[in-house]
Amino acid sequence: MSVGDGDEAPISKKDLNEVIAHLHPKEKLVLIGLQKGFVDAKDIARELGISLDAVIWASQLLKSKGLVEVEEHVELKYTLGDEGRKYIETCFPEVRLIAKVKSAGGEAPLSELELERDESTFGISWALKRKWIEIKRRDAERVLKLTEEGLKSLEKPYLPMQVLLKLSRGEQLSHEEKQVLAELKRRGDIVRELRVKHVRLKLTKTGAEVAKLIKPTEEVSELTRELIITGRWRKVYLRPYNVEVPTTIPVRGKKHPYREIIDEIREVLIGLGFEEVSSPPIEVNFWNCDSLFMPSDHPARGIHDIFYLKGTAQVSEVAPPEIWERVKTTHESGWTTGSTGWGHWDPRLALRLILRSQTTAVSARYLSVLKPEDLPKKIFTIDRNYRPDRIDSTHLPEFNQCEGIVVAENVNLRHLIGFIKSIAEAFGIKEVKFQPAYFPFTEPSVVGYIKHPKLGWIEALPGGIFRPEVVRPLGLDVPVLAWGLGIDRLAMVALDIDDIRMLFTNNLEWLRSKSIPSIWRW
Amino acid sequence: MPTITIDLSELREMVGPVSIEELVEVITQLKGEVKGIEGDELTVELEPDRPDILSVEGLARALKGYLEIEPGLHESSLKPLRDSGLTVKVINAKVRPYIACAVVKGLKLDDRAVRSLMRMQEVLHLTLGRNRRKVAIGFHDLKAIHPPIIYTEAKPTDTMIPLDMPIEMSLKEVLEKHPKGIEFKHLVKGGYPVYVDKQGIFSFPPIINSERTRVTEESENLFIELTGIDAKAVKQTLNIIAFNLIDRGGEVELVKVEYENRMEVTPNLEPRKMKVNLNEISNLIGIKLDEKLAKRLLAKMRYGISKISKSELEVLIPAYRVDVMHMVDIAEDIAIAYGYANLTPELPNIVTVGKPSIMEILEAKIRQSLIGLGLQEVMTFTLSGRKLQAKLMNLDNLELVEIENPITLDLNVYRRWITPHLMRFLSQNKHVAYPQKIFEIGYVAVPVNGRIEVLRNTAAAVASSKATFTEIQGILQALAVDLGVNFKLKKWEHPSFIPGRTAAIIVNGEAVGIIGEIHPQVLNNFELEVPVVAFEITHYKPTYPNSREKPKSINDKIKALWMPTQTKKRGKLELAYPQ
Repeated sequence: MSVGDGDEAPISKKDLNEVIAHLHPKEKLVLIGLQKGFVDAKDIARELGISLDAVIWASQLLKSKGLVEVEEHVELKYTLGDEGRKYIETCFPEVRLIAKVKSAGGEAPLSELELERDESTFGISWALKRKWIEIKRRDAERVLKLTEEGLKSLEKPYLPMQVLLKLSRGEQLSHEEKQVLAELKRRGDIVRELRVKHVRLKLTKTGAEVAKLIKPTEEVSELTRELIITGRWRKVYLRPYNVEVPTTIPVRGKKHPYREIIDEIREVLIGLGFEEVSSPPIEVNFWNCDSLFMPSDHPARGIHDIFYLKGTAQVSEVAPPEIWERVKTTHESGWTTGSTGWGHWDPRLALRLILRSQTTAVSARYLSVLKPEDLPKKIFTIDRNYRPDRIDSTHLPEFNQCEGIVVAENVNLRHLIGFIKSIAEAFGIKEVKFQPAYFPFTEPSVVGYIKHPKLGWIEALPGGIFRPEVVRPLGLDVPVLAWGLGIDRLAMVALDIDDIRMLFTNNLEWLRSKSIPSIWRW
Repeated sequence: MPTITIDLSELREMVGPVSIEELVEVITQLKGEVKGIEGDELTVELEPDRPDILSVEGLARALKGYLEIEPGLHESSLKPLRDSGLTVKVINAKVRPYIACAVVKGLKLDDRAVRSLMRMQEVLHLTLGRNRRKVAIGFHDLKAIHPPIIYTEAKPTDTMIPLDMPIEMSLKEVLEKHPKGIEFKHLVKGGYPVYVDKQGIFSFPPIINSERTRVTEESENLFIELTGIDAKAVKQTLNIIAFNLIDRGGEVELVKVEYENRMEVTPNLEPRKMKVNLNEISNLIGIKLDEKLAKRLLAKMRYGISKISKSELEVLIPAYRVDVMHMVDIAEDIAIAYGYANLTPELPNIVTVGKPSIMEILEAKIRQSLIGLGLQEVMTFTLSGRKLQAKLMNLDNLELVEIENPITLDLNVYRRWITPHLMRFLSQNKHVAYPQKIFEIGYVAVPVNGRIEVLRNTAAAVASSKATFTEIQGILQALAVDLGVNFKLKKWEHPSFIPGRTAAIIVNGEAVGIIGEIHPQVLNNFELEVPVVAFEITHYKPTYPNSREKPKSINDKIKALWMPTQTKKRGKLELAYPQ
């Protein structure tokens, strides 16, 4: 905003103070600097200890407010170019040329002169221009002949050389020398012209009045306790930062991204009324297989399917005697379940210690202590299981499973499908289709397929109603709906990884830089 | 998951014209997955619960029922069989004591049929036969057999001319030289079960048949023998084979099996009877089943019905349905025939309140606290190796829970403590910016007095050029405040930590963990170049859902059973707790 231009009527002190209130600290500094008499912007910058750019920027603002006049002029400066510097050492090629011709007796054929490259090109052309030599033709050869002029020139100082020397010393050139400069400018890289911009500032009348009233502002970078409590912060200028440059990310704590997914799943299941349970992953074959009515010779009980530990458990530690006996009889002949049974059972195998291979073992243990008065009950577990699978991008020897059961009177297959569907819906999956499936411990069994936007229909939600051969020996006589969630698979999709090994990665950089995932986003 | 290959053209000959879409749909309903179609060959992956459909004949039979082309009980279920007149005497059979035999006449075998026979034999061997251990099957050309037939133990020096290696060799040599002998000799440990007729040995089950009785396209009549260690299984497998060959146009005839103390006649293709209650099945599936609907659905799945009274049905289960053990198996078949896609999902009218487990509530607090202190959570394997658990941590020896059948040698134990896994994690991030602060919550297992104790531990580590005891102690103190736990530190010695800069963490008078600066020998072992400080505590002792013990947490009284420490008297590591 323009306050006063040039030589107007003097302005009141009140107005002046207003002007000062709106001045940027750098503007204030420049006004003060001009008071001290400096004119060139460069000089002001140096004296005030601030950058030339800051001075020029402030002066533009001051100009728009009518407080200073800004004059710009461009100075032409000359320095030596590469050739120029060379010639200072070696002399101009035309001078060297005629010196050589003179030594050769004032006249010589070209071939005999042993000329440097620049002598034979620029040297000859400039020597000709100065009329220092003549060229004759003799025997198909060019012959150079020194003229009177040329001879005389060797005894005089060469004006172009003077110019170079003066330029190298930074001395002023005479008028005559300036003419020579014009000629030199056209010759290769002998002299270089620089356009130097000079900015000169001058206070206007108003500017001078304002300048008299200014007290300079202190510039600080830290807002200290002292500044805050004394109020001195009002009198200083907090140096601005370059807020647009990124900085380093601080070291911080974070949940493991897989854990984030597990916690989201837990939240959904708890919200659906399921109670969380857990159980140590070191198991006994009895609970992992036998109580689930898997026959002793089931193919999935071999050394390629279950990790066996050295040692066995005691019957008394494994199960109460009634349950042990009932499971035994159920396997052998069906007991009172109404089944044919398998016709055999290996109690020694049942006592083998193993690493749990399916969380259904947890459900079995839980069922064995449920009483009819506890019903209805819905429980779930998410925990670690183990299988001796070869390690590749979709298999690991240890992995997580999620499963749950609904224990209640009068629940049926349609309810099972209903539960699986509602769990899928809770995760935003609307399309689920169900097909028959097989699991040794459920009948009927289902598997729910979900539609993935990229992968199409994928098998993801197994389930079934526990066989009576499983439930009755454990002391209950109600239907038990069981369902599972392939959470390793779900986590891989949510974390956008296609190798299961990444779930257990040791890559700290990946963990640090992974944005917090969510099961809802996929 | 057994996978079978069948000739599409053969299947269509047996079933009738059926489109690929129909085929795929029905196979899916029978729990199968069509893996591929190449020319005339269809590859299907099936579940092991229906061994009767693991061949083109069985699959065709099931298809005809489901598609209602030929619903209801297979006619041969009720047709009495003729007696072949053959008797097999069983004398001194020890190694594989149970057999079942049959004669099948009038087969017209072409190249495709012979191939099917072999596939059928292979897949039954693999599934019901448990890789021939439980049941082994032999097909023989009947005309090459000269009764009387005896099944008995032979001597290793007795000879035969085995299939595919047509020179006479002793049974011992067969086990040593014939590929099938080498593969299956472990199944006849110590014995040499054989079928012998007037001309000598013609079968050495489960190893190999003889060249003499080889089945070819020219064979019209077959003698089938099954041997095994399970009486029921051999008969059941024979039933499946019998029905398959009947569907191929053969006529099955009975064979008498004379054991030392009893007589059996095989095969028995009569259906089993099972009474089922329609209301029970309706309640199980969630649909209203009336008599008419039940009959139709059972017929689709090829069951028969003999008696009906009010809501009770007597179902006739075909002899080849060896998988049906309980009413629920029939119920599932009814649901499949009804069509799962026709079952409308419903939520039952039960209300339960969900809640997290105590363990998770506690661990959520630990997690929150340590994340708030700037630590990154990591997840490493619970499976470990002895080298990682002990040697790299500067421990001479450590009692560990060992796995008998590990997949690799460096995953052959269950970890006893988490800190070595954190050290390995740090050693794999040497070129990542420091400080590195990490933690893990997870399972550990400790062998204690012949038992295995499973615990939940928390381990934390800080690696940085400025890492000191004070820093990790500060983290532990903050964690204790957040958990509402009072603890004391007692100076301690542990080979993995720097002497004089190690302490045991005591809560309620028990050592729950250890804290300190990691020993430079350990840093060297892991090729780490900055100091590391760490602590590990047991915060929870889990129990089984059906255990009488109650779980314990760090707020009660708990012990860090995993903490090894060196006693000065013996060189061995022992568990010793600070007093």
